Amino acid sequence: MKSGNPFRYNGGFLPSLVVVVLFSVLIIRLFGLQVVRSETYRRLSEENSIRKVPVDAPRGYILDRHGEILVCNRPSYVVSVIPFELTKMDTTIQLLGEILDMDPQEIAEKVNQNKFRRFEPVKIKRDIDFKTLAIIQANTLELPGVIYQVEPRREYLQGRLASHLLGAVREISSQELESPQYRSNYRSGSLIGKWGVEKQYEGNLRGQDGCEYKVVSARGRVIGPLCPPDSADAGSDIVLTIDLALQRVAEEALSDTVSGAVVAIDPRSGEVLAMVSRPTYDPTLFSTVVSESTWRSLNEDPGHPLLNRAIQSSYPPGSAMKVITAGAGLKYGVISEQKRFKPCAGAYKYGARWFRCWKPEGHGSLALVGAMAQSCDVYFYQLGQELELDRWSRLATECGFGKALELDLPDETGGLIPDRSLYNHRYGEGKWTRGVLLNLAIGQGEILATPLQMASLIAAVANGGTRYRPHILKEFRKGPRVDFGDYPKDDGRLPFSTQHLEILKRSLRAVVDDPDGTGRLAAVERVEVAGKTGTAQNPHGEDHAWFVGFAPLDNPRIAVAVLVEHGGHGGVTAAPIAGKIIEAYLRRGGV
Amino acid sequence: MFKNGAIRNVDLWLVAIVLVLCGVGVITIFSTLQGSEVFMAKNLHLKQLFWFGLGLLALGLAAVIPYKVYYVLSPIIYAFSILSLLLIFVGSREQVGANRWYQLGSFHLQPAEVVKVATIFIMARYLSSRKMATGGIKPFLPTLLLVGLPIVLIIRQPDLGTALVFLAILVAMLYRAGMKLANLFLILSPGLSVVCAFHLGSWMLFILLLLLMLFLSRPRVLTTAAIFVLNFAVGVVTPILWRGLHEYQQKRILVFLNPGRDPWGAGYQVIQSKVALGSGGFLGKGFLHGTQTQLAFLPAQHTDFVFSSFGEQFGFLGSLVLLVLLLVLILRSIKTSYMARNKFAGLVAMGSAAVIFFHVFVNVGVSLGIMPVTGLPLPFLSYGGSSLITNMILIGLVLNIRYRWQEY
Repeated sequence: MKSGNPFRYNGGFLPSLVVVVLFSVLIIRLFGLQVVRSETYRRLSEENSIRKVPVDAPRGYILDRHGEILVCNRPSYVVSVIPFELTKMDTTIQLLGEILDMDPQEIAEKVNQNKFRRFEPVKIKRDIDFKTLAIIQANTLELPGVIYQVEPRREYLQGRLASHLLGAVREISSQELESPQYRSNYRSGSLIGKWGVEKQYEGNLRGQDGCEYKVVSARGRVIGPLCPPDSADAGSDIVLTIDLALQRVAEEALSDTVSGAVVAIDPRSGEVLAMVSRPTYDPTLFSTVVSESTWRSLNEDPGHPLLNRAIQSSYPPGSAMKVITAGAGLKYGVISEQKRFKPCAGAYKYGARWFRCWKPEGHGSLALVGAMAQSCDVYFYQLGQELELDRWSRLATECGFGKALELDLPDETGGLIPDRSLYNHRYGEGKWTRGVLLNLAIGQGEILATPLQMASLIAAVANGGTRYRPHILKEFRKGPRVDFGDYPKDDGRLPFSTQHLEILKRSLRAVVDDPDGTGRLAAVERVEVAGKTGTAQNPHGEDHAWFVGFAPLDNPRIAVAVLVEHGGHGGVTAAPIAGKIIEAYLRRGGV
Repeated sequence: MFKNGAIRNVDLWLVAIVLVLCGVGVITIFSTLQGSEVFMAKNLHLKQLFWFGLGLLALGLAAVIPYKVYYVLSPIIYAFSILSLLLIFVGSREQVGANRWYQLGSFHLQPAEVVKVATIFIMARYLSSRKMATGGIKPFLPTLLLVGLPIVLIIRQPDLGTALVFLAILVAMLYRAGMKLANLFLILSPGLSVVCAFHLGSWMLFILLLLLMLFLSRPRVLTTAAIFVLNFAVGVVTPILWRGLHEYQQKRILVFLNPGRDPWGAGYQVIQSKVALGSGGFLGKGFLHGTQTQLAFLPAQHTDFVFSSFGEQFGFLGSLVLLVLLLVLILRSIKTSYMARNKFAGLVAMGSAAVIFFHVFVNVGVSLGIMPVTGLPLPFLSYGGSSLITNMILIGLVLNIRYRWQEY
């Protein structure tokens, strides 16, 4: 360009050239579309057009440790509406409402929720039966914009088995859809895990939805695919550490009529072999959209059937806590294996107050093994009296109490280990005495623990002190690829020496083996079962029954915690359940 | 009416082309309504005819009032239009997720349209009142502010397509005002740097080009250093910032910049647009025989995708004629710009040509699937009052300038 006065007329050559060149680009492209590739497009448009339909990725299966299927998908039909193709909205919705037995108002609301995505099918009703489907097919002409698709529906093959553990899926809520976390991979109507494994491993199970381009006739009939679809990418299958056969035994052992929980752990790895919570519910209720009334009745049931008592509920552990108290006594030199305190006469006086033993006639003079076997409270009162609260609290915390173990399931609670500051806060400084420790020593008072924590403790005692991280994920499987969960292998060791643990194990064996032992009902023929009963007083009624145990004594392969709410004496109610589970597992040869 | 036979100074070609385009627009809109009872009931083609009438009035007014009046009033017009953009955050209703419109009865006024004209005026006034031809970069910097203000306000609405129109105005008018290409490049370089920064190779190329341009235009040392440092910093910082964002934040920005990434909606529209155009073939399916159009498979066919609907019915031949008409319209506007002896007039004509060209290129580009979906209307053809009237005003201004081209 010449400089000088640009306002002299020069025809504006350069800008004109730019415009002409860019127009040529458009025209060349237009020529390509309308002349060169015209035939392809003409065929597409002959009486036909294209519809883009999302395809839900099949959710991953959930399998037990041996590959038995716990949760899978089965095909089901879903009726959807494409708002953009609803040319006769009012009459179509009216008719559709009649066919599906739904309030047309409800359908209209669903359609309107998606008015900004008018080309995307809105799911109106899931899992319709063949008869309804046939009626819709017959009325296609009256129902422009209504389509039906096959979608995978969640199927809980084992019925109520492990329902708390497996969890459930629900349709994503509109609030969740707003959050950036979900916006990219979820649409209105997408299913999302709401609790249990379904929630914990949502990201792995879900997969990536795809979409299909379908050629649709002018009458709305699908003629065929336009081009290869963006395939849906199925979610990973999840292999749990759960042993289906053992889970079945545990489910049967814990009666349907009680409230309670069972946790069975492999003490060599922390793998959870079985987890039961009572009362339970039917997970198939959640495989389609849950009605508001069903949801409310489950939520407001006084038995709290949705609560996974194995991890979401904590209780005073009662005498089962004596394992830690005994360990503390050995550790700090308060007792040796032979040490005897004053004989038990049915009660122990501390200060001005009498602390009663569970056995009013008393146990007489006992050393540790006998005191453990017969669960003599007076022995442990005297032991507790010699301990310090701070030491005891720290020790219990180091054994995994007072905070969640971070099992790979959502909403685990941590229980409670009281310490000095808690008592100061609750009663005021100096307003409480060392008497609290007498109660804590036998697992009563402010202390709370989950069945999982108890199972995990006894598993660590069983294996010689390693606190393996409890987990229910064995591996992810996707085609030939196998991935493993990302969690620490263990959380260190119990704060007890191997020597002391051996003494503890011997005393726990006596609980089941000794003629006077409280846990005799857990005994299994030809298997050395060890364990501890617990009978936890609680202000709400009958005592909670506990049993924690493991077997075989040498080289243990299973550790169990059983809790029966208001079950009375642990040795009577809980111990036989643990016995059945241990027996079934070891008879079958274990893992 | 015309003094001493000055009718030869009226660009009758331009008038004829505009009338033809508007007529084609109304007819095409009519054809797109056939598929949908809802739209048909709204009689949009008749409404468009009404806008056409109003547009003719606006064209006449814009053409008759001597452009020196616009020169005098331009600061006031600009101030008012910016104010209206500001007020839109307060007063307007949410419409399809974007705050673009004022509602006056049943008429939605888009202030962004008015601001285009106002910005052309104020830019022309500023650029014409200065000796620019030999100057460097500095005297042009205020224009960045004049254009930047509406861009910032419109991007927040959000409407990226319309915001980019202002960049087109800036480039075209600065060039017309005599800025050297090298300097133009330097002014725009930070923006280019951001775009290129995501690809190391292209960014290296960009930096080389920048050095070449700096060498060619040779601004003062300080300016040179400032430009280089700015570009370098922008190019280095952008990818770092980008990687610092969460994936969903990145996605949101990408969808904002390019709604076509959202697979539900825009992508579907482009597929349908290409099928409509392609199936039209060389001669088209004939008026009212566009199957894609009739069955309403093609969305937004009376607004953003009116070109596809036209192309389906009238084929390559029809589309070619339409594009050539638009091309002639733009070329004549550019010619008018260079004929005008008055600087202000020449600049206004150039800005008008730039606005129309940008709309045509982007809209048709979208329909052909070579541009991201931006929602810019096709001048004179797409349904919509604000856009039609604005374009008529722009053409009125070009006629005005052509008629008085000899005035200084």
